[in-house]
Amino acid sequence: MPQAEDERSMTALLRDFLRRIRGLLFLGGVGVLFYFLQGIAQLLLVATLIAYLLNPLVSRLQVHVSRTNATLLVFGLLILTLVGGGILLGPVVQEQIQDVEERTDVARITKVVGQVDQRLSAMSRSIGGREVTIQEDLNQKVDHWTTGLVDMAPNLLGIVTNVVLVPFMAIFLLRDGPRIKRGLIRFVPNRYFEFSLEALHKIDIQLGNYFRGLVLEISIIAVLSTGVLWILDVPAFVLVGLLAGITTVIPYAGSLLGGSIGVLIELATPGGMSTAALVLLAFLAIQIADEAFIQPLVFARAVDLHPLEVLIAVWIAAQFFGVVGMVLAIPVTSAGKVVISEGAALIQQYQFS
Amino acid sequence: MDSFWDNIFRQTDETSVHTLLREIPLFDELSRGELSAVESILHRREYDPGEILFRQGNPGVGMYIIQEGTIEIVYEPTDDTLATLSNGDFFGELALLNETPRSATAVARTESVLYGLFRPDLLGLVERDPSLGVQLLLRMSQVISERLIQTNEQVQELRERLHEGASDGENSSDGTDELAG
Repeated sequence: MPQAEDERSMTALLRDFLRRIRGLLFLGGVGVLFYFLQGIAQLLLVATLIAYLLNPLVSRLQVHVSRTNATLLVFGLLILTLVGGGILLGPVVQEQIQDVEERTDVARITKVVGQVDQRLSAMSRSIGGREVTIQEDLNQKVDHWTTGLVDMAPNLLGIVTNVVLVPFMAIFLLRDGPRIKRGLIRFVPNRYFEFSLEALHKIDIQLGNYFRGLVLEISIIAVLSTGVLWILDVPAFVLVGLLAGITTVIPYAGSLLGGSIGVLIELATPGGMSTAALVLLAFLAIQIADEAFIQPLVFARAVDLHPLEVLIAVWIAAQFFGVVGMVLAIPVTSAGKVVISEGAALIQQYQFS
Repeated sequence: MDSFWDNIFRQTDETSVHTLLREIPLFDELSRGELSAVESILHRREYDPGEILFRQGNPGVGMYIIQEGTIEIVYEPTDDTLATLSNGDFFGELALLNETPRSATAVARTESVLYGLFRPDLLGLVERDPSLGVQLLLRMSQVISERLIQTNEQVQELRERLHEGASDGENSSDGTDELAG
């Protein structure tokens, strides 16, 4: 009898060991995959965000139709909205860009920048510094960007592939999300199983509220900015308004940063100095309104980030993932903060054997 | 795509889970399709002898159905075994309705296979399929009310025994008084 018991416990031990190895291999595999396929990781991140945002809609529709049909229906509606928006807004934006080009006095900008160069150089020389060459630096930057755009042409196929890949991944994640989640939970050791379920559920609620709040905030700021810019008769008001909305994801100065493009456009327009000041004031007001009223209203529970956390997150993301990383840095950092704070709060309630 | 994830995360054949669920009073009146919906939110877990399923005092997350094995429900301060459950039994269903902490610890006594049904998943199912949700919650309230009736009867029985004991004590003390007098 004791021998049989020994054999049984050895089998149990071996099975437990294999289960842990399987879990570790899976996690390790995911880590290696993310490290070597950073490009795919970015796409997956974007697709996950899209799937996460659309999940509540699919779940609601699932009452009436299958999850596959609900997913396809929601995606169909999204594509229709984007195409419709593109058809409606495309010509307007194009017209506005042309308008900016026509109203911008290039000679005047060159003259102003030249004067600034001379003044700053004189000041710099008086304290024993180097010559200031903003104009030259700007020209170099413009050349660099233009070359970058030309170089991008051969990569167009890659961009198109990504545009197709992201929605495909998002559809896949959206449709099979619950099954993937359940499958992944299987790898969690028994002692952490209930804790993981509870933690995932709470994090899911918090993140859902955060991302849906973020979309609402972006929409409100975009509409508000577009309206204000239209009233002030700023060229490219739709484009700048949308940009101000998107940059709202960066806390403390987001919409102000996006709106500063409007200020620059006005500064480049002859006689636009007073309007530029008004645009700057308007975006300051929008920024304050966002921090004071809109954010507390749309976020069920605010995910507060310290200004230093914001700076570090944006800097690291810019180093590794470029512009896409910069836009996604704050939502991803906020999501990470939610995961850590909810996990920490739950750990205190659980005692692990 | 279904088969893709099913192959990666294959758990067990659907029929045996359906048979198991049909034996549970909570699900015995559900159709095949409804059972599949419930099965889609179950979590299959395997436990070794001595492994703890949940600890007394930890937040209650959901209920477990035993497919195979023996589970002991232990009251920790005294280490008293409150119940020994085996194949086809279920426990922890109160946690589906309430977020109260677990009132006892559950330990696997043999190698066991269990299916867990958890509150967040159940609430999701209720939201997606309200008619199935109503059926499940109704059955759950019936099971809980039956248990409440049984508990009331046990309390009544204990109370009567207590009264009998008290009156026996009074009678015997009266007798002693008489003898002393």
